[in-house]
Amino acid sequence: MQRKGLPTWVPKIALFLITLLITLFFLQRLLMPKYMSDIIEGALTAEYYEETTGHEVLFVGDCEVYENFSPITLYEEYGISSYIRGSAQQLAWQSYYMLEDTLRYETPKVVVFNVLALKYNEPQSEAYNRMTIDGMKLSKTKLDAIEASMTDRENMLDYIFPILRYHSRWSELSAEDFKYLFHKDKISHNGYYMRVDVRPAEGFPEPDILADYTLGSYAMGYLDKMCKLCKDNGIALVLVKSPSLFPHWYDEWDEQIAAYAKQHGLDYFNYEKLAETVGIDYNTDTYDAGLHMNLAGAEKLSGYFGKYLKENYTLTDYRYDPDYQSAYAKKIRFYEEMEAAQRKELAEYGEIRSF
Amino acid sequence: MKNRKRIMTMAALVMALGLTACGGSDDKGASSGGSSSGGGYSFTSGSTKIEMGKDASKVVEALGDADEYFESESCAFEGLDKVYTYPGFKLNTYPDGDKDYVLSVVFMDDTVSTDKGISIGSTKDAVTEAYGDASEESASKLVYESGDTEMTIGLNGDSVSSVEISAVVEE
Repeated sequence: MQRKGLPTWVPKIALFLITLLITLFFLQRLLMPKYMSDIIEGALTAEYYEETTGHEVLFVGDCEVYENFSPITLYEEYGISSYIRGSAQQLAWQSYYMLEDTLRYETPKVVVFNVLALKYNEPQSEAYNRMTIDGMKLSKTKLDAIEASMTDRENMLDYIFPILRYHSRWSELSAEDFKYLFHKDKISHNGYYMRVDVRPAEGFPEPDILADYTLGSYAMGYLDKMCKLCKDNGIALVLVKSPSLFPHWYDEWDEQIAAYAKQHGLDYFNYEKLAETVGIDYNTDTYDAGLHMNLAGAEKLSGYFGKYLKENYTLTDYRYDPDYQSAYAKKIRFYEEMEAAQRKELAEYGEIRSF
Repeated sequence: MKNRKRIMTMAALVMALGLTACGGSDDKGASSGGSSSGGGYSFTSGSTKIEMGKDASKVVEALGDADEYFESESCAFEGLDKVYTYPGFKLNTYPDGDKDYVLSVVFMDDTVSTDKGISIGSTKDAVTEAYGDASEESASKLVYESGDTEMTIGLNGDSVSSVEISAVVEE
């Protein structure tokens, strides 16, 4: 009796499907933006997954965290191991999901959330959404982040299969897309984006008169969720407003956050108001006229904030841990090399061009 | 070998069809630009009509020197968000490619008014008489939508406390 095997078409179809999937995978990698030489902030989210050490302090928020706090300073001065999971215009719900995503890998002791993004109560821009979300590893958390973030014109499938969104980049492909097909350069220092140049703060326009100064319920709802998530995991949540002078942070907003912090037993520091105490000099410590700190400003703020962290939480001094010593030695070398390279560019061209 | 070639060809064909079929999105990828409006709310200063979402260069030229000018880089993208302050109002622009477009006009005092005569200090009744029922209404604001533009009227009790006319764009 002849033995019944699989129909002959089965392996052919299987081979076809495998070939198709592999080809699509390569094409997707090729077509997705690499964020290496331009708009490098888009590469921040994915860098977290390359970390080899744990972090007892986690920062979440927008450019006011990833440009204003230096984890390397926190380590050098206090032995604190920290990471910034921030990206450009990272909205409150995205920070919540970034925290939830982090908890899949580790549980920090302290989470620091910068409150500026609470001014936005609805999804803003696909381009910024992409920069924050595309780099996240696929998980239920990522799907929830997409759901919460999509503008009217976006859809979930385009995020799950980015090739659907980026296929039209065929005509824009450059050498960079091939160079960084499988590997990307490191661009941040535990999530910190370094800039050493200086552009003193000047005048700012009068703040707009708003129709309603109440922070939106959608954004505040995610602050509630963040608060609960931290509480459920035994994490201390700290709220901060970075010392950035523009966009304007209204007193009405500040009062709402202060009241929220008081009601929930959280610490809240508005470093715009504390800038002088911290030692921030807006003539020397900002690279874009007061919107973000440069390296000098970020190191001052981190030194000041690190003291608070050290005095108020039981944080390990990782400077005495051999594994961390070794990992941070590399990080510090990279930090110092980037600083030197930026200063060299600044001297040569009068501006930063490659970072 | 022949089979493998056929499979590769089929894969390429299916992919090409798939990619062609998914052309619901625009060609720009995730770019920072927004769209321009067609009609909708505008603001007139002197003889200069300011239309939301339209090329800002002609408007700025027609308005003459601003009392104040401020520009700031966006968080990540190239180009500058610009704020021009004129007597009574601010004009905000956003970059898209190598051009700037009108994002919004924000009233700063009661010396300017909308095309239908609403200014800071007008009554809520005057607003609804001029513009009808709002698309969105709460105790603190009325929001009117027209085309790719929006007009947000802030209310302090029965009195107008703020006016912003803006283009609806993805910043």
